[in-house]
Amino acid sequence: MHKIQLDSAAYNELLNLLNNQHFTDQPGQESDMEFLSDDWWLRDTAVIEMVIQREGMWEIQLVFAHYQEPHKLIKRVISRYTSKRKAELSAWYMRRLAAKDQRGTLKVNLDDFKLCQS
Amino acid sequence: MNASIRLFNEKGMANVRLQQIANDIGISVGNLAYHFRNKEAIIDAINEEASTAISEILSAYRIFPNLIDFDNQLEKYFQFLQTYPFYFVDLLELERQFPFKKSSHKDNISKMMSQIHKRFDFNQQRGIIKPESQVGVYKRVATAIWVLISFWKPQNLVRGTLDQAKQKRNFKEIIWNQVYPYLSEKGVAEFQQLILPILEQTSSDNS
Repeated sequence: MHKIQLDSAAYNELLNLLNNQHFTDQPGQESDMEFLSDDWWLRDTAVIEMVIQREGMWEIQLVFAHYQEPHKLIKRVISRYTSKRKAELSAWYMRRLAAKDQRGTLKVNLDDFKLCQS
Repeated sequence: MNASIRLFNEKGMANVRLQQIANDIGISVGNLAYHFRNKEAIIDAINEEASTAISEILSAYRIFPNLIDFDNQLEKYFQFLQTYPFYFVDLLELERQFPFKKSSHKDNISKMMSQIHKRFDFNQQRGIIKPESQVGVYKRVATAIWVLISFWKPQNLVRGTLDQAKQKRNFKEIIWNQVYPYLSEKGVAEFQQLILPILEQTSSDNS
């Protein structure tokens, strides 16, 4: 393994960062992780499928956005396909499967958010 | 390797021949030379092992946010000095024989000093160490502590007055004595609560 050598100034700076961490880091609260179990809001979400090109494949992403508060949303990467048509078809079925609102009356315009694709 | 380390510690690196190492482990010189071409190769391998051990000690920085952190590191330095006393005792000789190792030695020494100095900074921010009375004092104290850590073993070997059980306490006390005058009131309280019991326990240990 190639050894990396830090010069003295860089090493001192790293030690400073470690020291400062003690004063800046706060212990986490249990409430910080509530979002994992607090998923009732997902019942009132519109599901939007997105197919984007990534690393030479077509990636399906589903966006769940609350229909009354559209900024409350989560994005989930589902899977990747080599064919765009196959990805679009699968994404359509996945959206139908994921949406609690099968009739599709809950609508959110995805373009309103200018989502970052990275 | 273990036999070589023991012989180097007992007789000094310069005074040990390949034949003595072979005799000690009960194999022929030819057999030993099959694994290590010459004495330099053995020294090189031991030096690598010692450098890895030093790196592990250096990684034990700021694991605990109090004075125990430094005491734990002192404990590791003490164990290191017991295993590889020649690392500092024969430092100059080692560097003369392996000039290309000089930079890694210097790098480790510089890291040791930086860590000790940054411990002063950290504990000053915590209110455990008094504010610096004069710019650069803590840097100089850090250097003095490094000298004590590195050359405590040679002086102990030269004097040879302490038995094994008292060595660790002596090593730690000498170093903590350098820090004590700079502790604030809060620092003295923390020292008495956390470090004194460890030092007392150390003296009653037979390890």
